[in-house]
Amino acid sequence: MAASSEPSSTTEAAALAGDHSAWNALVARHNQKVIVALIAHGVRPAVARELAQDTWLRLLNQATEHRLDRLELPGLAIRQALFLARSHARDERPLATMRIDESVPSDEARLLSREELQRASEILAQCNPMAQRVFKLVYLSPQLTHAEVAARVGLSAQRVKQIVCEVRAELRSALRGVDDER
Amino acid sequence: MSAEHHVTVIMAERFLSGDSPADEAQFIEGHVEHCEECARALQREAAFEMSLNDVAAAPVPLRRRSIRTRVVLAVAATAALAAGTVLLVNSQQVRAEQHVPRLVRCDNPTTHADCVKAAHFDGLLTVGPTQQLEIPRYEEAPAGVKP
Repeated sequence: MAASSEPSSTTEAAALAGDHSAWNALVARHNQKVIVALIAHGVRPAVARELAQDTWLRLLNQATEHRLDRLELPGLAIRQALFLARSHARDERPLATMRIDESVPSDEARLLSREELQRASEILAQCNPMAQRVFKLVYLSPQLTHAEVAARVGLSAQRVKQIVCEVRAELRSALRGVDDER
Repeated sequence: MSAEHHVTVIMAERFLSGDSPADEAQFIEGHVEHCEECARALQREAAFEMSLNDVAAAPVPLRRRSIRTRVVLAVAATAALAAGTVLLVNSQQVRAEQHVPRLVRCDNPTTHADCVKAAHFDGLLTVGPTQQLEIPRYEEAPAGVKP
């Protein structure tokens, strides 16, 4: 039985071995990231949710048929979801009401220009050390939940969420000049 | 929430992090199906969310300094270099001075022995009544005792 608090590599190994509770834990942990990636590529939220579900089923099937050597999540799921979205769009299936925005680079590509990235890095460097640490843990360790990040830095999960929101707002305002209240 | 409302940045952010209340999530999903502006806004927000991985992975930048700061730093560095050169020259002079043997005149026969003893104790060379330089000598070791 793989609990969601276990290290991600353990959970992924259990999932590959066919442990369904491990799959449930991985889906709970990464599903939202898959949906966000699809929306970033122009897929409408309702369709994104269906495609994400389809993605997990396919990955589960591939694992059952021993066609997966390893599970690198959420990257593998995002690539699979984008592949599904493109093929659905090409085949003009019922899901074709969605549009795949090819102008948005894939998740491997940089979405920010070099100048924007430089500016964002400068803004991040101006944040206090704890905020920087929390932000980096959240975004560089996607396998960690906010609660796990909170446990590592000795804060509450609520405070971690708040810090991420604050840093995100600073970055958004610096990069896009968008006011949160809009 | 009526269809006249649009999706705000905060609502989009909440939706993308999966924290929207059920009714708000339902509104957003329905609304972006027919509101192109909000659909684009939601897409931009999602793309922004994904780009934050790059921001987190980027190295911490060195702070850019203004031209004025750079000039001040250059002047300070030049001054420090000059000061360092002066100090080096001075320390070499001091070292050279330290190597000049310091002589003490011990030419009074009545106090000569004490004068020489005290001078040698302080590491000084002495000049005796004969004007000859007297080099400190170690006492001979007693017989049977290795020096």
